Amino acid sequence: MSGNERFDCIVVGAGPAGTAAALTLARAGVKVVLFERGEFPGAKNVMGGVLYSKTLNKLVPGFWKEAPLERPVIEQNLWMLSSDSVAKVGYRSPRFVPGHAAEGGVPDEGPANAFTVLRAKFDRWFAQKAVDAGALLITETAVEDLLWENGKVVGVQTGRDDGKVYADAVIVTAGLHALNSLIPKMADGRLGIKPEHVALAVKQIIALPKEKIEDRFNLPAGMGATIELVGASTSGLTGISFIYTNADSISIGAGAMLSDYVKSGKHPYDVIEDFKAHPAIKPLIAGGEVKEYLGHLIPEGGYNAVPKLYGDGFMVAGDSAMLVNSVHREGSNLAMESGRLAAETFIKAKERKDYSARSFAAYRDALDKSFVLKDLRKYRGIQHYLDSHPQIFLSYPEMVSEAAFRFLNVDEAPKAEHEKMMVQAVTNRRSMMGLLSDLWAGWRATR
Amino acid sequence: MSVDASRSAGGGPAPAAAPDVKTQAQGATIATGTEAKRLSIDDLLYLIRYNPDDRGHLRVINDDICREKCVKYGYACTRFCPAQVYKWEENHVSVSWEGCIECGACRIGCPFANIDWKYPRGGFGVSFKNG
Repeated sequence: MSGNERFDCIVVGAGPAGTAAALTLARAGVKVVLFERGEFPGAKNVMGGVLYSKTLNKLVPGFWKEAPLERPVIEQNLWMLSSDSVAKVGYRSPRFVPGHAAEGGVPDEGPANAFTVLRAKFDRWFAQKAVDAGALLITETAVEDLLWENGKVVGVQTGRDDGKVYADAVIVTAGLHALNSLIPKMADGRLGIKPEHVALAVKQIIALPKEKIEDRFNLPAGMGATIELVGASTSGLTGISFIYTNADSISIGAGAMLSDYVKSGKHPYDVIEDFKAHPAIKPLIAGGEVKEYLGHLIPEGGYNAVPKLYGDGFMVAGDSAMLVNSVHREGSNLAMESGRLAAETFIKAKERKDYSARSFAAYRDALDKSFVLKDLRKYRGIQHYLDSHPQIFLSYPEMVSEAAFRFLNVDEAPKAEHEKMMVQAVTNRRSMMGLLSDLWAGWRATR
Repeated sequence: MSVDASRSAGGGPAPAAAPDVKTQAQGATIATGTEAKRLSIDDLLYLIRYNPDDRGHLRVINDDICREKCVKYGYACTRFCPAQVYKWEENHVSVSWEGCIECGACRIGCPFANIDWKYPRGGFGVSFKNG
């Protein structure tokens, strides 16, 4: 690539959003370059990770027959941890894994609802799809700035010598931090993103033999399970932990609001090690070998923190646009859908040769009509709700634990007494009015 | 292993105990029975694959601000950084950027916006094996 080569469109970052955009553009015959700062696509990318099929299957029909996926998810669980106990709810259904042979054969029809994935492997495969379709992928190249002319984005400044590259438009899918660096409109004085808008998550990959994973999680061969945890799993911080089964490893991690970390002074590596040592968790990972340690920020500002999504000569998608639905653990599918919609918008704009903000406003409209912003709008109150109701994460799991113990423990005390103690276990921690108000506010926040 | 003694403050040579360029460490812990060993941050960092640059990408802007204002946070970055890049050393915060896993928590979490933050140059820095 010479210094003055021109493209129709530049995509910054080969994650799910950027690759979805580049793939869609290349298929439509758009001359597109996809920049990736990592050694390969995925080298810098981290998620829990559960990948939902629906959006990807629109982009790469039949993807599950060839993509590097870990396990189709047949069962999902929510565990509430107290300091030494656990209360569990879960749901398992073959309807989550249609067409997947029960004994681990190659699936032939319909993808599972979701798969566990490891992003360094998955993103590499996905980006190759865009390359096969005709996109030019340039790795090990950081985009350091957008190039502006008369208030319009006309290209990017890369970190390479002679590193200016020009195009009719730039699609920014460079992760959360692009909000503070590439998109100057967000940098109003201080940083655009605040510690209350992000969760700091750390994760470990723990290798275990396939059969051990299937035994311990009670799984049919080849199938996977997810567990999300609240309560003692995050050492008193507002957050959620997770355990996901991969093919021959476990992804285990803990995420908590960065603002909580700043306030508490806790170390993230202590939080995850404490979590691993919990008596309900330890047997699941016993004998495993820790293969990798990872950390990542998750944009959780929600609908109210979504930035301006387009302007003259640019559009923003994926984490760079805060498109994460933290209530439903969805992010990569919102990234892919937003990347695809940005690309579709560009393709239409190209027909009119109009790359202005007015032309790209269609991108915002398309997102508004899609599940991406419909879902974020539905949960727009949730961040404030959780901020102002920390008891949901902190005292409720202890309350549930205490009540369950009172109900289930057999000690020859009359059951009527048990019932009374159970109610007390709850009301000692939160009054009836408090409970009702938490419920009501929670219901309101998700309407 | 002990990295502490060899970890350099801001921009020195890569610590001797850090993994070599593009080598990857083997797994850190073999648990026996259910008694898994608690891993230290140094154990954890040793598992990560890096392609280290010879120039730093992180810098504390003004040491006085750490000294004078951040005491009440216990020097926040030295606590919440998941890779323990930042350490309090007598009178300043040292920056072992070689071990950075590029989450950017320091950039957003520093209560005084006192960290000059960039990603490493293209191709350098952390290179996850699994992601």
